[in-house]
Amino acid sequence: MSPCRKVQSLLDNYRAHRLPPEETAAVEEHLRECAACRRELAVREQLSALLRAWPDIAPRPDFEAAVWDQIQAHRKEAPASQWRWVPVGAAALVALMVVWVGWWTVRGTIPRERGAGQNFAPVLAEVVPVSSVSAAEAPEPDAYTFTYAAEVKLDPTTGAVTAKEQRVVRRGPTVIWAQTRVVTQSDAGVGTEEWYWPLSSWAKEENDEAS
Amino acid sequence: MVTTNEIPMASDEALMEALCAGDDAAFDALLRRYRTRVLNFAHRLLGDRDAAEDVAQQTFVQVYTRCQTFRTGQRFSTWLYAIAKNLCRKEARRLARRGDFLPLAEVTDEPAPPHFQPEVRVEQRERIRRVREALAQLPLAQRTLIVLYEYEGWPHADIAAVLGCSVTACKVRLHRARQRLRTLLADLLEA
Repeated sequence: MSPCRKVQSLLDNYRAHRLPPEETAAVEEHLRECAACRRELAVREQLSALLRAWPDIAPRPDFEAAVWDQIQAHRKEAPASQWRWVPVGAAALVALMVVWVGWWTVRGTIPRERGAGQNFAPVLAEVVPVSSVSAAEAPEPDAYTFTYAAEVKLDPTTGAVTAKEQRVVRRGPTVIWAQTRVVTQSDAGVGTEEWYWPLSSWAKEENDEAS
Repeated sequence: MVTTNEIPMASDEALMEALCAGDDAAFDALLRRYRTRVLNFAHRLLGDRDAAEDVAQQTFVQVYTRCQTFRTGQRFSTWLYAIAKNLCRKEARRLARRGDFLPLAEVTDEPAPPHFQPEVRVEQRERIRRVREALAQLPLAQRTLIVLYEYEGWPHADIAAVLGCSVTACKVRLHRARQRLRTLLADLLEA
């Protein structure tokens, strides 16, 4: 950096008396010798003086009262504004739960069950044998359950009908289970098998298998 | 906690601490200490007296309502002017959208000092008009720099803190702003 550029970079602090004594002395020594830097300093001082021709204005007499009025208005609005996001938050929470359940369902079940049940034809209607579950299998009062897949297979050689339903069942306040139930009806009678998995452990099992 | 007797001598930061603890008298002291400076800061950025009053009032309302966001160790004036700057920017955009941003040169809401002779007052008023016109031609960021440096007398480091840039960037931008003003006011500077 040339001496002039260095001095000009210090001129602002020199004018504001913010330089340490040794730098102040160095700037003054340079200014005595350098007409260009003296001119630069003069122009900066002229510009500052010119800008300061624009005088200050005073606040209006009611300035403070107006500030306090706005603060009071804000205090009145504040409690309402705190609660206005509650419905939005609740809706967001519900949406998040739906997405979460859907994601685990898709990730944890469909690929596995499709692979296992390629001979099963999808059935859109309710599967009658599955709907007649025992009382022990009924969901708890606060629980919910929904069926996301139902399949039925007819074995033409034996005449046996196998109905398979996959459901999501909530048992307890926080745990969501995936349930697979297979009901087989043949000449020998009706047999029921069912399995439950907590969705998270089921997904982990899937991952373990995949790896 | 700052006692009533200590308020006039208390530092800004001590007053902010008292305000956070619920002391309205501390807020009153800050309001009285800074109202004129914040008003003039906004006035020079916006060029409109009414808009400047609104922005200055909103600045203090935010100081009161958001005092909990003031961090210990932070300088109050830097925090205060950052609020004012952001509100000015928002107000400038609003005025620009409405298309009623006042040409600064046409605003004559403050008189020249009354002790001047009539012909000197005319000359002084013309100089003020030219200064306002030149400042109005700067981008808002450069105008903020000039106002903080030339009118508020802040060092580069504090200006950089308000603008959220480095000290070097602040010096470079100040140099550019000053060069632009020199061009716009060249005839007055040569005189």
